[in-house]
Amino acid sequence: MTRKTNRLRFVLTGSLLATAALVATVPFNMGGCSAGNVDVMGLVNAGGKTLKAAGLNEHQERAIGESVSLAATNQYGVTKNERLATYVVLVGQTLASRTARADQPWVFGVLDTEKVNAFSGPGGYVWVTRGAIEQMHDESELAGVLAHEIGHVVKKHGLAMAQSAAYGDAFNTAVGSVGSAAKFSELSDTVTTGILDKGYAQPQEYEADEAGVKYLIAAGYDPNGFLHFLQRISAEQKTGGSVFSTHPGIDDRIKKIANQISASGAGGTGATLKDRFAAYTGKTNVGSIDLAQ
Amino acid sequence: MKISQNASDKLPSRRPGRWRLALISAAVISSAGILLAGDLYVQPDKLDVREGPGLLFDPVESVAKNAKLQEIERTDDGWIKVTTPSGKQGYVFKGSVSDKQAAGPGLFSGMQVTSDSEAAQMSTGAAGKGLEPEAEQYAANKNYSKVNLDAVIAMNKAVKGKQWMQFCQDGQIGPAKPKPNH
Repeated sequence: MTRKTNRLRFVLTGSLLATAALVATVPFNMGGCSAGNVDVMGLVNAGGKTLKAAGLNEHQERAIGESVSLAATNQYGVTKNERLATYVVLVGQTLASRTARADQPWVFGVLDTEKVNAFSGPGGYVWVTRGAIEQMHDESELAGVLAHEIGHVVKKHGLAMAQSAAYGDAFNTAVGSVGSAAKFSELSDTVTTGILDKGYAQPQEYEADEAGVKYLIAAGYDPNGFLHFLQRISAEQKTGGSVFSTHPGIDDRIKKIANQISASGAGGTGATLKDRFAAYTGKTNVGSIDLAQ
Repeated sequence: MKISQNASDKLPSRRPGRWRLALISAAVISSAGILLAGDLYVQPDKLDVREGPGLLFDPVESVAKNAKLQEIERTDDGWIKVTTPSGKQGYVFKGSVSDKQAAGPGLFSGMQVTSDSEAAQMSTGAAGKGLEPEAEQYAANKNYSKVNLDAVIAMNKAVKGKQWMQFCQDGQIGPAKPKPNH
């Protein structure tokens, strides 16, 4: 064996020793991209592509969400029940912390109306109505509805709605120009009408359902809570109620959600937190409750 | 028998010298590797380094794009404990940092982003700095009241990291979700 070969062999041996040292010192979970059971990088990539398609930046996204929220809070008002409002924030933030948007602003609020519905706008604004909460039985059901709306935000469905309204170029005009403000106002009106009155398209509802179930499982909630709530709403709709009017096609959604939960094996496991839900909402038995202060 | 001491006659000292070279190589490569593996670069123009692993924890410092952070450890849910260039420790979210530098200059390159007195009042969201100008104008155009939305935003801001962590621990959810048995 030549001297050169011997030298090479020892350098390689040194490299192996170095590699072993690296493996021993690097934290065990370094390089992992998972947050619980959620593919964070997959969500980031999907959201990034959609944002690029929408052509709107973070500030513009938030401006749209704030405009939708202004419309909603002026139309319905907000709950004065601070304990309830704080509860919704705590549950919402727990779910949001399981998403790729965990370090971005979120605002959770309760609209003071007996209508049973929930909305979300770009930039992290999520709203649930007092009427919807009155129909819920435990915290996992509240988490289910919030997780679904969070899914709309993470998947940037509101932005896609703005893009489809063909007003994406409004934000490329000069800052401060009258034309720009007028265009933004028109855009916000379109998105607000779409979110508050018409709702998202069915494929986006399915996508938000799928994402929401993942967040529920990642957060440790029983995903069946969402299923039970939708089943109850479906039954209500069949009796002529206008509940969840912006979320049509519930029966198909129920089937898909049930299949997803079954495949996950997480159904029936996780937290339901019925007692805590009762403590925060004052709901002591099944049925309608008065959450207005 | 006398052994010649001439260099040309000197027997090669094989094992001690070359193993020393291997060990030195290992030490150098390990050191460089550890430094490279622990360095993270801030990706957005401005990033809050927080006192805990969650958005609801107050910022301890704000750092500019491409500021170099030294990784200390990672949580299971995407937050990384780091040391900032000024020596402060805190948490950043995995999605906001990379082991590669971000392209292009940041808005705050070369500038101190915040002072210590400002850090406690910082927020990355609408809760910290009011509505976006376009939304303010929209409210004016529509004659919408901002009172309700401002109140909800303020209430969201009032919920802090410690309260949220306790809530999670009480319910065994979120970061306090029981880990599966392997």
